[in-house]
Amino acid sequence: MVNEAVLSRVYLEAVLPCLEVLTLRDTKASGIAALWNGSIRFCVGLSGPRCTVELRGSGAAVTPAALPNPDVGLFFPHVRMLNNLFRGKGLQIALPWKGITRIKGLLTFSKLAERMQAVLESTGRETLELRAELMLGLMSRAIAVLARHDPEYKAQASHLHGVTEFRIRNGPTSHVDFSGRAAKASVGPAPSPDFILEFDDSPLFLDVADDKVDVLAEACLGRISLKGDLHMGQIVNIALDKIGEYLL
Amino acid sequence: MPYAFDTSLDLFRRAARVMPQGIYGHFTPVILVPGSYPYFVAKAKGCRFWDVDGNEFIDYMCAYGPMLLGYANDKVDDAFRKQAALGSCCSIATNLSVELAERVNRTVDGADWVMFAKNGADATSMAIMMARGHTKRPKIVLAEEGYHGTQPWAGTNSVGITASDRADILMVPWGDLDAFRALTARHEGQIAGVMFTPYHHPVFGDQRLPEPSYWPEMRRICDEHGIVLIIDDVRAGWRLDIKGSSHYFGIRPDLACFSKGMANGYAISMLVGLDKLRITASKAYMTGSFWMNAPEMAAALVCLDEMEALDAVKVVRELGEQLTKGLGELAASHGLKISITGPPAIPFMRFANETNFMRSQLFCGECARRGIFFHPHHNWFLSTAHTERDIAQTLDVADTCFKIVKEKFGG
Repeated sequence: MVNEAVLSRVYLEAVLPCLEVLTLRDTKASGIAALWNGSIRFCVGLSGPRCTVELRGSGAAVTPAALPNPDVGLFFPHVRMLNNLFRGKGLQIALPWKGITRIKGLLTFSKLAERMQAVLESTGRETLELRAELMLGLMSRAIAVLARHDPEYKAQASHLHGVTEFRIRNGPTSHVDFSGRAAKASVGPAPSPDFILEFDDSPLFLDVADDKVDVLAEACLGRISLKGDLHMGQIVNIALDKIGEYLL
Repeated sequence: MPYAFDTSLDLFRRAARVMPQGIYGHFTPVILVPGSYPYFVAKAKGCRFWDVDGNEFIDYMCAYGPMLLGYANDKVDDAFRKQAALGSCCSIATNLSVELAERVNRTVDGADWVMFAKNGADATSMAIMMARGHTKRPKIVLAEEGYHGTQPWAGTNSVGITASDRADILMVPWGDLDAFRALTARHEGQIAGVMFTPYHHPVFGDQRLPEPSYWPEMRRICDEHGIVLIIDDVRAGWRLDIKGSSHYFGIRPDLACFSKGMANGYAISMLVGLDKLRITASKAYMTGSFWMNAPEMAAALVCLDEMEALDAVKVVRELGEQLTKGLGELAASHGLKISITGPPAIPFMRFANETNFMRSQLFCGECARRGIFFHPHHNWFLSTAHTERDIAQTLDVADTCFKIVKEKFGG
């Protein structure tokens, strides 16, 4: 079941950070980001999630917190209003409590978000590797969000102690660390992962992300490799299914 | 020369086109080490099987328990074949059901009455229905990491399960009397039954035997609160005590579930119970198209005879002791630390200095590539068909594979 409060965190803490890699790898995105230097803060409700997107010199940095002195501040009275913004439907009310006159900043962010959506939803070969890298990072961050906030999954993930690593062979890597009190996602390899899920190539990973693949069959055929703590893998797999529920 | 599994892989490609996962459930190779294990069996005899590539294995999984007297046991198979020639699934019950029920009544402790089915999950599902029917209460207590089948209430599946499927299931850690006491106090008058395995045998974890005071206290708490005590003996049954694992641990449950080794590989299970639940059982409508199949019952009758004649419990215990002692000594000789838990006939081995099973996967995968079928995450099983020579051959291979683990991990 989709919990709207958790979904808002998935958008702010897992989806928006894709802008960092997007502006690094995609010339169209970096071109858009170069149009404005400034920061936008997202706040949901009085005690909901906060996030700050900074655009500087054609790059983007996303921090899952309310950084001080943003150029633009957007306040969403209810999580559903933020979620509707990302879903692109329904009531999308944001109260611009600061920087309402900085229209250029909002337009730049809006164009950047559109570019990110276009890449994430593209099926073309030219964006395939980028899309895979974005999805790999998004997946790890979303798992960490669910492990921290989804009431049902939090209970399951509380039994996990260790690190899960996701790899695309000869490609990007990301991992989720369940060792501490709160699950934490990072891009790049883990020093000593306990469970490793490796995909043969980006197309296969993207097909898995799109729920088009019989994962267990592919694992038996060697195109997907599962090593280490398979029990951790089972629990992580539940999160992967949940991400699909949240973002589809 | 390590084995290759080309034919298995070719067959799997065909399988994956027509069956989800290619091979599903606990038979999936995913939970082994894909690439180091065979996927499909061609034939089996005694404690060995041969895969579709012609590779020969000494099998320590025994079909995950059912094979207690060895694959293709002549006496059991003859009984099955003879009865099959006389009829299998028929329009009325078989006389063998009476003979088998009487035999179970004489053999298994606490089997005042018997109901037959096909799989362990049939028996465990029947058991919770009986508990609820008898007490007119909704809630069932299960142990965390326990396994009772893949039914929606059992909690092993995440697909197609709703919250309501498990709304009346309460979980406690196995062996934690305080947690169970607290639960009974919190849900006073609501708990119909508690279903635990006789000892804790989780997958991916050490097995745990009960403290001497555990089962007597569980029995006392259940009696005090009117809770039906159910033992799921599907996995351990027949390898610890011919009278049931409950008898081995000195408990008398209200209901007990059996299957696996009961007919040495033929599909039959049963729920047995004390007299106090007989009337409840008499009111329940439970059935299945093949529950009264006669050949499986003929096989079970002969299997029980053979288990008694061979003293199967003693044989598998002694073989298990030889195997586990040998593995422990070999590991130590390589400077490796292993942990072996559970009864010797049903041992679980892991490397003591890891929790992620990387060493176990390498060790078991290398053993499989050399003809020894161990499981890296699940307990193993001994059978009466294993011999001291098989154990010696196994330890020879294990020696090589411990060396490989040492070289890769250093300790």
